[in-house]
Amino acid sequence: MNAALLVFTWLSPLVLALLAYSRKGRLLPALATLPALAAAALVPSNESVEIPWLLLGVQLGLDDTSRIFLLFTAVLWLVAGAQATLQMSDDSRAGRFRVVFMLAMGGNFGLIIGQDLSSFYLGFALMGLAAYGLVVHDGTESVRHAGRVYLVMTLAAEFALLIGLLLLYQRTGDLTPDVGAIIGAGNIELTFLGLAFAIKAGLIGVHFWLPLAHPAAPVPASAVLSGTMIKAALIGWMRYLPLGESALPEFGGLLLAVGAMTTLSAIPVGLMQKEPKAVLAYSSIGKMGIMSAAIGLIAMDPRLAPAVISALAIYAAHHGLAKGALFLGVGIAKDTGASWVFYLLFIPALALAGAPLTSGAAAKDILKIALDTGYSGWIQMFVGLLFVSTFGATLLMARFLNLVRPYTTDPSSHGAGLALPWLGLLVLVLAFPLVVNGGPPSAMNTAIVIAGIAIAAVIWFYSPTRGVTWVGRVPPGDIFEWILRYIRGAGLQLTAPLTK
Amino acid sequence: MNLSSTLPGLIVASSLLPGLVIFFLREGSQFTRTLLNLGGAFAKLVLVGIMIWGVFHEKVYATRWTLAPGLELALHADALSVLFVTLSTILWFVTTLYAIGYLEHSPKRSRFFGFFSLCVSATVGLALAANLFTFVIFYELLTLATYPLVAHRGNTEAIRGARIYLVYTLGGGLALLLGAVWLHAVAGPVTFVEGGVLSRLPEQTYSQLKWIFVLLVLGLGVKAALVPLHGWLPQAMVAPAPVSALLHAVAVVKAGAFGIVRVVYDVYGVEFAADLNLLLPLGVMAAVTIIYGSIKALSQDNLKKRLAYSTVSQVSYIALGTATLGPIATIGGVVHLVHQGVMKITLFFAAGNYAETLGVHKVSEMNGIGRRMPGTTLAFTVGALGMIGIPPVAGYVTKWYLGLGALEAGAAAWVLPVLIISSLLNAAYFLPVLYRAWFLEAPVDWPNEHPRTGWFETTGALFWPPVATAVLALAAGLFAAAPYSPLEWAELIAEREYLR
Repeated sequence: MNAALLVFTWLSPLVLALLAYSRKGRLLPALATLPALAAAALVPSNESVEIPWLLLGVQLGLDDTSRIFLLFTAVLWLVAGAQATLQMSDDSRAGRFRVVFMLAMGGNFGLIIGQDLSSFYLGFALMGLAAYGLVVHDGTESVRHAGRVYLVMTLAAEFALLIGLLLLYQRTGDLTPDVGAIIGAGNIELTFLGLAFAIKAGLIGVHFWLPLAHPAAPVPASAVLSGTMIKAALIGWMRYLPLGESALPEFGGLLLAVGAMTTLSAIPVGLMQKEPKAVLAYSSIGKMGIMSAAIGLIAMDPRLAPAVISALAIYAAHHGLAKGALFLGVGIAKDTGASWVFYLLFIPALALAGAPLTSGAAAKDILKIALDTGYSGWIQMFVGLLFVSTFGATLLMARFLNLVRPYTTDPSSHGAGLALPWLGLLVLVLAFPLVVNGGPPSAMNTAIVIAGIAIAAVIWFYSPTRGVTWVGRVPPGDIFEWILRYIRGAGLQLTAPLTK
Repeated sequence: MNLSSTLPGLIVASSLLPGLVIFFLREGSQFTRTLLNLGGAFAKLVLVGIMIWGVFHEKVYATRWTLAPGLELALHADALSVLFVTLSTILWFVTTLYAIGYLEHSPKRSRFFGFFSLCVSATVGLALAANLFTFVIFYELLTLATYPLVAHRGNTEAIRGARIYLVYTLGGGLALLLGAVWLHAVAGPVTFVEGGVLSRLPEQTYSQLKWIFVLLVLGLGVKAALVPLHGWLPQAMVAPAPVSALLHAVAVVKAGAFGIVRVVYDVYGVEFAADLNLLLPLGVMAAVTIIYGSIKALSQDNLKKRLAYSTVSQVSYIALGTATLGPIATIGGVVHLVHQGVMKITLFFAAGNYAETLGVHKVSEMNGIGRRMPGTTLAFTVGALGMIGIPPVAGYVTKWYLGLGALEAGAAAWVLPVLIISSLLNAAYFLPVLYRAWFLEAPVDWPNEHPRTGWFETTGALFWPPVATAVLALAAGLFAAAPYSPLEWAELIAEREYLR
């Protein structure tokens, strides 16, 4: 029974994708997630099923961490799939969208429950490539540009992962190496694995595809891209770094520094965006910076491992649900134009900012409590980073709401039927702190959020346009776009072969 | 009847005899011709099935005729020959079906199918050849049997392409013959033995052996399309699609690659070849070919030409694996004999379908073709992703083993970059085709659309072969670790090569 559930978690999106092209298959994107939900709820931890004849030898299973990942991932795919069905009913290319959507879903589930190298690699590659079809769905020129950049970076990540996994396998001789066997990675191996996951996470320097691709995709796809797919990086690090067993001071320090820089740079650049989805994309980069930096902390200090890894899974769940709700909300706001959508968007926005009594506050508290298992200057620095990020996220969310507001001018209450799955997701975001208890509100955190809201309110009401000359100064994709403009100015075509 | 002494001969005869009869059939006797074609192909399948079972259980099959003292026409079955025979038998069966559908209304079908059968008989003969003499005989026969197929259309372009083909392959055949005669003079009759036979020769012959190796590889390299001996292959794509499929996936190119594998492993012995410093030059030649072919493929607008350059590149994976010392790389090279064949034949079938059904010959005409011909385009997509090495299509298995083998052999510093660059280039010339096919709008009119005849997007005889081979390509990767998979069989070969 458990074995069948695990197999169907993976199999159902892939097999049902074959039937999803016709209009009759329009419910399949949502239905295909049900085995995954059931598996997350029912399959006991540390039970696994071996399928030695599949790929190079497959092992499927769940542990306490991957269960949390599977749960929020499946929920988000379910909600996004249902919203896609409701909102894309008059899109003539919806059939194609459903097929790539479900292939990406299959890859995403596969890399969570696949415990061997080959199924992780398959999941990573399948998810990345299928999601290209989601990114370029609308087919406009700017979307195609975003698609090209996305594709090149996705392939780069995939091939870096292949080299990293080859080195890992050559060293360990084991397709399902446990944490103990992973100890002793060389610098080359760490570099390639690190690069693959850094690209996927959108860390600074290799982040530029993300603010292009995530806003380009149709809203249900953006929700899963930002909500679940980038978390593959987190899973990769948790699985292929010797976290909790041996210290990697240099690698951990590097990851901490790069993660911190990612967060610190994503906030101002995000504030300068003109598109609500671009703001959300930079906010995702910032949050992935935080999570990656936390992985860096564990890599430096193995004692942190079990507690911080669990806390990170919860943090990822919170971010996935809240970010998914924000993206989906943009689509519903545009489709309905109703002002009630705008007011409901405060729920995930406050959660993402980490306001008291929200999922964000709970997730952050649990992370801080987990960090108490160690003590070092680095941890202090990280906690400082968390506060900065809270402040930044508050401003980003204010900016986001400010940008969504013009879409939602209709005071009537129509369109609720269209948004039913989304409303369900909002209930989950609200209920999150009831399930995951982070303790009493922290005064410091509350003060920071209130300060952020106050500053945002002042800007909103006193000078919505006047004097705000920095808006739009930095295009989505920032440094890469600047480099590209410079190169095009010099008359070179960087992506020429891909346009043929 | 004693199978152990007749089976190899019967396998060759099962296509040779029907082929000879077909020559004398009147053009109109379609039923008899089809019966002979399919009867022969089916008989061969059954015979090969028996042989697979036998060789797996270490039974010996050998057919021999002594022509003169020391000159023996001998066929025998070892693990390597069975791999190649199985591949060509299965793909011949499918290609015959395809060719019957493809050439339904064209003239000179008896001539075509006669040479078609001879071509396959020669391929199977050289696969089963037990000694170098027999191999050379069948190798030259293959050249002669293929020439009329390339020239089949009879227009100036076809005649020109065929003439270039003949010049190249006869030149190559001459080099091979010279090498074989010289080797005969030095070492006496050379029988193929797993592990090689030449290492027992006295040391003063070593310099001669090196030159002989050069001659042999030059002779084989023409058919295997090693750069700079590849010039005929892109010209030969003027042949009808089933011939291209046969040329690229089953017979000619494969015969060259198979010959290189034979010479390195079963004549010289891979370790002895390494001692003579012959492997590195071969490896460099393969690496140059891999990169060069891919770069040339980038700029081809003619679909079949793009596929032809892709073959130039992909077949050299086999030579690269052969030139890398160690059992893992051997597995990677040998298994690609099968993988490349199955994937490339799919691509050529699909290209043929586009040409035959819609008159589409160019990549630039393929916009939106996925909507008009979803089954064919799906098959094409599987083949193309496999070429890039995206799991779960077979190509990733090759890449995994070649990469791992390079690490084992300490050659990773140059082999891995070659693999990665080649994969990126493959992505750069295949993914834009897929993008066009699935994501761009179809034109109002296709260049030369044949009226729809049945329920499918094209006739059934054209529709099913690419679908079937795409399923094979997918299965070879998906069930790579299953019993009797190409990978398992390649492991058996490597085991026997290195343990004896």
